[in-house]
Amino acid sequence: MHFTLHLTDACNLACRYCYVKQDTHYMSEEVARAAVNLAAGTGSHCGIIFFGGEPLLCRERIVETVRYAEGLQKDGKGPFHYKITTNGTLLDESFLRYSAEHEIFIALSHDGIQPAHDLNRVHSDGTGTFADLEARAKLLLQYRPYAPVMMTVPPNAVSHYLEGVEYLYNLGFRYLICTIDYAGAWTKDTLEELERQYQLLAKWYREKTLAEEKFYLSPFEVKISSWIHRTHYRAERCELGKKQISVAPDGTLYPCVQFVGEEAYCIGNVFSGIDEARRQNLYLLNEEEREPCSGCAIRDRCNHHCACLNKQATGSFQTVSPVLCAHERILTPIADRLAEKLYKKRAAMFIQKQYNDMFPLLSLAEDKLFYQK
Amino acid sequence: MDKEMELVAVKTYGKPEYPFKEEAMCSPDLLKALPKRWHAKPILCILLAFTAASGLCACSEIQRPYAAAPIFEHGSGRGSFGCVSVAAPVFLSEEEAAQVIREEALLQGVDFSGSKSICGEFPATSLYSFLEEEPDPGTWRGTLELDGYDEALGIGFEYVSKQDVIDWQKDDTAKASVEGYDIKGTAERLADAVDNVAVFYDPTAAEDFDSSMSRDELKEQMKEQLREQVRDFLTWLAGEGII
Repeated sequence: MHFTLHLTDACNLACRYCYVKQDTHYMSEEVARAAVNLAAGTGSHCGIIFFGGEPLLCRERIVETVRYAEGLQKDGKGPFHYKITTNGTLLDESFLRYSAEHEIFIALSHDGIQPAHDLNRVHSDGTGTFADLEARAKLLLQYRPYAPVMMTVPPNAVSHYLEGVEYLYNLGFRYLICTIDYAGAWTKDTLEELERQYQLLAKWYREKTLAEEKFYLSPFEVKISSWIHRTHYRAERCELGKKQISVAPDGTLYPCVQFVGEEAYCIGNVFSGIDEARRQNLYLLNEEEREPCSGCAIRDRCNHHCACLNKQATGSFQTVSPVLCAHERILTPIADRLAEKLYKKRAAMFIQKQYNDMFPLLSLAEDKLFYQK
Repeated sequence: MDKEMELVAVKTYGKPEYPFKEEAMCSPDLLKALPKRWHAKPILCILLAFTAASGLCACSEIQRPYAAAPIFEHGSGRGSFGCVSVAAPVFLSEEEAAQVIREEALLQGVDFSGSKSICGEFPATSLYSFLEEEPDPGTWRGTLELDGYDEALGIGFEYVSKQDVIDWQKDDTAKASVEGYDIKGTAERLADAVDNVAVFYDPTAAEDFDSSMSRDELKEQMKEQLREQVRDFLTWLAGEGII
């Protein structure tokens, strides 16, 4: 169970595609502690995710919350693991050292090459933030070599998709989590360009895999996995409010990040606990199969159950986004042709990564024993 | 987003030509494909050998402790669409059916919430079996992922849907402007091929199409027919002394 603590709705940036209504609410120490207590009560392996706005505006709150959770862990609660998603502009060596000491996983939001990144990820005065990030990204990888980078691809930057992935890979990121901006103004032309970019990325993926390089490029990994690990994929799909809960700065609970601040979706409070009836009601509404998805041949491999994406794109978590539908129809066959080619060649890195459950351990062992100083 | 952008259901999608996990693990040599640089690192080879020996294969041949259950007939299980078949049949999706089956089984203490894959030879299908010249579709060999499994009883279930009939074709060439879905016939052949597996089928509202009923009403009627299939199976299980 993951608890996403929305430490603030304030941010030092003004990214053009951001869905958060910026304000100046900050989570109190009391709310953060109550959220950790609630997480501790849900069983073992509790994820605490620090989210915003920009969570590094609340560095002290992070430190206090981790200290509190570590105290609970000494008393037999948890264990807890921690993650922070940041725009990176406030990252510095002292926080990175702290994150390494306390095993806080850091995910960096970055949109790739400068022309793409600076189109949307901007300061409040409209200037781009690319120049603020390169040195910080390198520093992050120095302390956390497995840090993922979160790349958003909006329609106005889709033609830079491949270049963005290449740039971030060359910078040193090996976990590339890429998602399109589902709420963006996608058109027939930009979707055609998206398809072209995925074809180019498939070629890039194939070449890197045949060269036996280790990396994770989320769009292809997820789609290939949706076939190889079909049962697991279906079991792991969005279960609204069951696997993760968002905690607003004032302590109100919501089933996912897109719902924060909307009273209709409130499922409790950190002090009074989870309102199980409301949570179950939302979960069941989200489980209902949508038309025409019930007749779709790739529905079991599709992300149409993601309530958060549907809410973001259509305003209703029960209405599947046509953009998401188009994206799945573009990506799935490209990912399958890519996997077929690599399987037919018996590409060793592909076989190990996709079919060997122990690959993460083997890969880590290789890095630790042979490459990391 | 373009105003005209709409949801589009993919009608057919060919089976990808790379195996899913259970199929792949039926070929233990697969994991011997090693990155070249690992060959020079014995410690990694030792770790890999350990993982291979730890039994990652999730695929199992069918055991036969129980007699094969027949199918229990409730609903026509046949439909056709295209050309002169102008009224689209009503089908239950895999999700709708699985919910009905799991709920009904649970009333008798059978918990189908688990999962299991079985290796074997299963019936192939044809959408044109009504054509005189259409050959017997034969069988396909591989892995069937059951729709539910009761770990304690060692019994699973497979719901044969319209999509299964489409997916299990060996030859998906279009041969007529009408497609026929012999769901019940496919279920009967599957029931002959497997043990420890309850085979249910989509009752399908087509031949008994009653124009006075809405599609929602027809679906409710079909769900009740599916519940009858499950109840009959549970009665059969009790008769066999299994529950």
